[in-house]
Amino acid sequence: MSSIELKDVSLDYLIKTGTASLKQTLLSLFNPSKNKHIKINNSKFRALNDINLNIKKGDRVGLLGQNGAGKSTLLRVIAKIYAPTSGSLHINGEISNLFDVNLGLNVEATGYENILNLAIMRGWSKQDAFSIVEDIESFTELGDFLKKPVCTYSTGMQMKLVFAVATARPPEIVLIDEIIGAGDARFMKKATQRIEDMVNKSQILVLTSHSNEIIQRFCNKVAILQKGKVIFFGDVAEGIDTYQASLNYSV
Amino acid sequence: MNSIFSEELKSLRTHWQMWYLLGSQDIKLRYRRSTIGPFWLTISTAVTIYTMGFLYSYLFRVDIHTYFPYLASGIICWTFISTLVQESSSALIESVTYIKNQASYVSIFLMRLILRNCIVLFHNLLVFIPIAIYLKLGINWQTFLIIPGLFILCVNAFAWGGVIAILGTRYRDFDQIIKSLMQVVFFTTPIMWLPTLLPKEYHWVIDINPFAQYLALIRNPLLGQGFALSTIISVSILSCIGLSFLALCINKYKHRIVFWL
Repeated sequence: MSSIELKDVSLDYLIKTGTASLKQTLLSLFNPSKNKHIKINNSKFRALNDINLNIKKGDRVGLLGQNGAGKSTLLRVIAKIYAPTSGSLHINGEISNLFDVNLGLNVEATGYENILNLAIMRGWSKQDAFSIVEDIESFTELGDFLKKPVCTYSTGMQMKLVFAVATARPPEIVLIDEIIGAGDARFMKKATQRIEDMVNKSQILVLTSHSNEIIQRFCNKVAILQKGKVIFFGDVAEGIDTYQASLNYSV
Repeated sequence: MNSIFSEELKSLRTHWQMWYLLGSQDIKLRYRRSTIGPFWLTISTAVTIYTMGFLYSYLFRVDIHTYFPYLASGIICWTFISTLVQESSSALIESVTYIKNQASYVSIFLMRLILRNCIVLFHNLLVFIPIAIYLKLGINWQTFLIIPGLFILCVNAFAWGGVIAILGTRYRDFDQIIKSLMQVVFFTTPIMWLPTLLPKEYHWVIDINPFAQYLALIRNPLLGQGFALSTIISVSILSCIGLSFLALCINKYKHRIVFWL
């Protein structure tokens, strides 16, 4: 049974406004008075502030919030890319994210070889990779191009391939940071349908989006973030209204 | 507290397909579209060794039959060690897209580096074969010590490489410091010159040099010699120190790496 539980999670970003040079660091250590111009003030920025969230099986959560509110940071904490500075995080279930679907792509290798590369970099086994080949052949409609190196593909074709692999196996928990589309309208429609299929087979979805339409289509819950805090967690319609109201208020 | 490091060690087994893919892909990418591919490595090493071998055996007035295999094994092994050290400082920086986009392990990127350099080493070792055949060095049981020797070198590359990688990510000029240090090490380590040319009272220079000990791990088996007791002791101590340092660095700083990138 998948679940995501965040308890009092806070995250500080380390910001290097000071020096990243070992030489300067040592100089200022040994001779602080002479090297006053070298400032070592690596500051912190509280990106997430005491977040409590309980996401259960069947929840499709849309994260709303203005730029810099901490939506992507929260997703990356759930993806275990950032470790919380304080608080605890418990995740049951296998996570898969669509942050960067290009990971593992080798443009010199053929389409078929890249199916294997992309799959392995997503942490899947070789057997898994072989089992998705047929599905990818039919979704991408690339035909003989799959036998050619990816550097001969157009941007759209490459996009189709990496997207197809990333969405081939429904994980228990799906994390999506903005559904951005490239490609023609027909592909976009197919791609959105494919994401929907994947999400339906998975148990939990956490998604950030600036589009109410996407949130309404994919989500059954909404969390609103403001300056690193969750100020609302609940029903979609109510969430979107609250968010709109807060936007109008702040403008 | 120890769990972060043990997770890292566990990932070596659970994620081997990932580092195997990354490491072998690096070689494939480097030599893409060239017919003989990575054998360019063999050729360039061969050219260096054969020209230097003749020249320096005259300069040092050493019998070419002793000097040639000595120099060849030295250069091959040094290339392996120094490349590992130098590339370690950017091991995490070159893998930034992975670290920033998925939960990942430092060990995977260290193994990527080690695997890539082992592949290069195997290509370079080919240069040694004609020398061994021509000079009738033969194979004895000590030749097979190259396997444990290489293994211990890889353990050290993992441990010290990891420490260098973390420092290199935090301090971006660390890379340059390492590069210039390795230049000095090259001249102070018996790679081109024979230890016998050094007066006895200065032999401590070799004894305290860890790189001379590392070098012996591959060079001695190639020359059909075993390991000295002092080599085994110092290398074991170095491995232990390195691994403890790495455990310390990873437990303390692993979560910060993503912010330093």
